Amino acid sequence: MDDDRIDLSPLDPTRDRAKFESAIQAIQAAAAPELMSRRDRSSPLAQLVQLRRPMLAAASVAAIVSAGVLMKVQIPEASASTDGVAEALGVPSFLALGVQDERVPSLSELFAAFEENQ
Amino acid sequence: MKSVAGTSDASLVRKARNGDAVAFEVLVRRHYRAAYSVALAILGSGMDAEDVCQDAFIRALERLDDCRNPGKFAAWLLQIVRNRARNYIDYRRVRETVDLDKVVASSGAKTDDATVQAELRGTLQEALAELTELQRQVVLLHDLEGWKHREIAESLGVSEVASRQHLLNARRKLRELLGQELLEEYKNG
Repeated sequence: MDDDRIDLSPLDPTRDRAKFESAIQAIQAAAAPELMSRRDRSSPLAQLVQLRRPMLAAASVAAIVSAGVLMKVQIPEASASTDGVAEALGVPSFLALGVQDERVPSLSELFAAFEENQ
Repeated sequence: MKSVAGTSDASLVRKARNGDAVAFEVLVRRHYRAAYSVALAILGSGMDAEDVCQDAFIRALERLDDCRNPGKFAAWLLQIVRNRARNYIDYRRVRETVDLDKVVASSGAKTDDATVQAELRGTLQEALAELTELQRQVVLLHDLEGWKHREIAESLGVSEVASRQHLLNARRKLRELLGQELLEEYKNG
């Protein structure tokens, strides 16, 4: 099949090396602004800038959703009484009352409490 | 340049997408002749084919992100060349042109060898003009650029059998038009 090949080499654009190189240079010169723009777009800083908007949008959505959830959740009010806590810790009631009233228990009261726990 | 000369098209396209000028230049050098062949097949003028080639490579760079299969960059590029060449025909219709190849050939300013080459080029272009556009693309891609029928078929959207048939018909017609003597002359010199 290749024996039938017609020699079209006079039409070969690379045959005249000087002309070919000049064509390549012309293309490279015309391509330079686009290539530079692509280099700028692909730099790490440019990538971060490109990411900034979607990240801000995602953060905004997350903040709105979180605020909504927080507003719906009812936080139970802390009990004003310390009785429950004192009882759970095994603190005698007179001591707990003393703490509430900011009163220092007497020595006899302490002995009585100790006797009770024995 | 040597380090990327053997690199695949896919890899070069990825680099060019990031603005790698060397990768883009390798792509241009690698596919310039195929692009020129297709442009010449459609336009019939070497000067116009060069203009369209330059335009098509820049267009391809601008749209490089649209090249879905970088491994088939050549086929994608040639489609751009075809589109640009057809647009150029429309543009040319409204513009009076002078075939500069012929001007150069008749100017006498060139050396004898250059004049002979220009005459051969002119004769070949006139003969090619008698073929259909498809035949011209097939014969130029095959006999000038050295593409295989599989590659030509894929690029032109025809079957391999059709590509072979177009080549056969194109060569037969070119031989009739050019004459065996002229073809021998090419081979000898």
